Amino acid sequence: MEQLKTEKICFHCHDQIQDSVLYLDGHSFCCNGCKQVYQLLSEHALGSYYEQDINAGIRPNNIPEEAFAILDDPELRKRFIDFQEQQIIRITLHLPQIHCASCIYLLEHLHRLNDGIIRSSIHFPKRTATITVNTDRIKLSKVAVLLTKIGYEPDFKSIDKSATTFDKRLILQLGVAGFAFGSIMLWSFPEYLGIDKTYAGIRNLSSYLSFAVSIPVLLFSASDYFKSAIGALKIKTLNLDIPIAIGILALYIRSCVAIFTHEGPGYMDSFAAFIFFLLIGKWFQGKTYQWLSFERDFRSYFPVAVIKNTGNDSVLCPIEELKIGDRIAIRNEEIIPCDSILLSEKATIDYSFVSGESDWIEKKKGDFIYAGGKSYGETIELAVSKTTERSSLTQLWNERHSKHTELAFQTRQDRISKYFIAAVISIAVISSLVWAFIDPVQIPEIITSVLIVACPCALALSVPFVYGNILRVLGKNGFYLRNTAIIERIQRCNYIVFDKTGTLTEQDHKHIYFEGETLSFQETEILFAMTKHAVHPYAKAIHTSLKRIQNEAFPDSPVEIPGKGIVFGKYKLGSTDFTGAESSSDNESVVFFAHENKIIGKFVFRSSLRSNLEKLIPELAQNYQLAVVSGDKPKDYDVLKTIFPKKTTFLFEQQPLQKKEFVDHLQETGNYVLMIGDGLNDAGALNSAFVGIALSEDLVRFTPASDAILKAQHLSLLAQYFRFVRDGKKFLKICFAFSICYNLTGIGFAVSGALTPFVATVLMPLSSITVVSLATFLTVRKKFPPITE
Amino acid sequence: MGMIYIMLIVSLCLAVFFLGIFLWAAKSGQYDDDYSPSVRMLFEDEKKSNHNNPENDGTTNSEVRQ
Repeated sequence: MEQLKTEKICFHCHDQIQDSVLYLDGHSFCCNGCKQVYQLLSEHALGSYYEQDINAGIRPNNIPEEAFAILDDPELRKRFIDFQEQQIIRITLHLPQIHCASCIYLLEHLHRLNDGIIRSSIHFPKRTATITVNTDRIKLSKVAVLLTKIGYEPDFKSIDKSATTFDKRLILQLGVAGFAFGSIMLWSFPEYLGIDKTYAGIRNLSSYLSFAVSIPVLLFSASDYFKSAIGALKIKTLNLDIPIAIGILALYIRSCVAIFTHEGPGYMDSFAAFIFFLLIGKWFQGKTYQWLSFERDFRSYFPVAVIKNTGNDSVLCPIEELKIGDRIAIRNEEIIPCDSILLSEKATIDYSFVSGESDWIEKKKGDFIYAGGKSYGETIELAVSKTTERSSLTQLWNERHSKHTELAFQTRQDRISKYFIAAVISIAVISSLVWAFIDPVQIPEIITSVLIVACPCALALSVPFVYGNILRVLGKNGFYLRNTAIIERIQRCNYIVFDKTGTLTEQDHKHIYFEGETLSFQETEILFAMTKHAVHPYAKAIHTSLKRIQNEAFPDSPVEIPGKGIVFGKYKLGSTDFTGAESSSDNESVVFFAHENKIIGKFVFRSSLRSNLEKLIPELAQNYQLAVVSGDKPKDYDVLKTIFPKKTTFLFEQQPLQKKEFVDHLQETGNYVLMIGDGLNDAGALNSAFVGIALSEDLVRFTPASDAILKAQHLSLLAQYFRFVRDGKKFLKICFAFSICYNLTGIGFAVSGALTPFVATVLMPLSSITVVSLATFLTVRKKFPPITE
Repeated sequence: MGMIYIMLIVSLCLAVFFLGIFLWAAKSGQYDDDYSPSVRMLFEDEKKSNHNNPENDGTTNSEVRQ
């Protein structure tokens, strides 16, 4: 049995083999594509591809070569290529399928597959390949075709070349601060051990060195805190960077005074350490998933260029350069890039990505076609009636978060800073009043001491470490947040809106049952042959649901009529009109099977709900109000009603704009909405929701712009993820309490006039280290149950 | 005690030297990709295909059949 099981898995892509098995070299393959990749690799001595990682292979997609024609046009390709010197071109391609060591191995040995490829190197975190090509030997479009053939389809649309610049600056700042921190600490060591005035020469030299080293820290490493504080003051708000900036300045000025009055190195060590720790916090928080794209808009979904017919000629034209009235040609399975009018006799359009509706729509000459539909069948000609930017759906996707929700939301850190500043100022005032009676000369000293120790270093580290760890723990469990600010947003939400198709239900049509006369053996055979090469998803689903009994040869070959059905001799399979069936209820998806215009029966498609929803929904309902909005017909209402609580709002047959308006309406009435969706039809709603979560089957496929991406298999854990995120508030409070304790201890020293550089040097790292380890301990021990697929 | 002065200067020079190396490495993008170099160094330089290398063929097949 065991052996049988292993044989059923494709050697290349490790998928379960469904029906026909192909064999080569004693390995089994699920499809011809996988077999060809294997063949290609073993012919070019790249067999060790399979040894680098167990899950190496990717099943290749079928992409028409013309899709890459843009790479051969010297003008249009300019924005993709990095460098060109006569026939040598270097290009950086985003290959979202890169996932393991084997991918690096294969893609860095591309030169063995074609000698026109000179060099290729992978940037793993960004999932890009930089390829140097000799275009005399191989055309760029052929390189893209080759990549697609071995499973790595280039995604031209979402290369963001500026992504790393910010990070790099932070690393440089961190380096400078670390250097200064280490050096000053070393030079201050005699100071800690109690060096006295007899060695004034050494003390002065080390003080001046400390001063020299501290200048770049102040001007370069700490500059962002000053900018942020000034920025906040300008718009008359308070943030935590204000007390930080005040503390930094107090430390620095006090130390400079100490150095130039030959008092010793002052607090320079604390100053450098302080900046160093703050920057570490910033760096830790700044963890991003470079390979995931949270910012995709319609552009990454549409083709880069389409064929424009100008008189007798046809040229490739980038979609942003299309003008009203242009005539464009759209080939089979291409996406219509702008609102337009059909010039061809008829067209079959699949709007499933836009509206969530899975049925294909038939259009006639002169009909208006919205952007975003996928055309099936023969090449169609269209006249552009609105440019892409102004097409009705793209406009919807272009709108960002409304300003209202953006401004009204202040992070917890910033809200706390108000009290913090007030407390620090009042402590400084009170202690100086008290000291006015004891020893008025000491007052400036006391005030600077208070400002120094009140500097909220540990407080400023709590948020990066608590939220940064939460971000990491969730990321390990298939829930990727765009940044740590999203955590506070999720904590605020009280209303969850679900999309139905693809979110609550699975995308493939697994639940099919047949109603009508029992199918005879021959009819089953006919259906099997009929649907074998079909394109329509329903026909494909019927094909996989049938059990093959015997391989019979038929005289006719099936003819698929896009958008209608399949004709096969005297048999017909397809829609109501096509087969001449009496129309059934609109609330279900059916395909009729007919023989000589007599209906034999119908296939009914039930979308299957994702697993464990019946447990997840009541869990969520305890804390949130729920709603379901769907672009589809209300066919699954009965099932959904059983698992959702009574007060859930159900909306069906919603257009993308209506979904967005529903979310907007909820937010206007004071709710904070968390929207979960998967397709472009949800893009508008995801954008206007307070938090938008995009559900993705495999992270590679398109996800609309969102705040977070959730792996579809992990949906059942959503309630637990949210609880963990809400727990973050509690963790943060514990860390805040600890850091305030340290601040109070320091203030105790400061108001009694006992603060020395040594006390500051011990207190500050100690508080930072406790808070960091506490934050890590609280968050990292969280374990989520494993997902069984 | 004169030694201390030299040591102070030497320590500063060493630290500046390492800072320079760090800044250069960070600027030239050596910290950008922390995964692929670790994999890349383990690649065999030249390996024969499964056809020409019966030993390799045998192991891969037996793994699949087990």
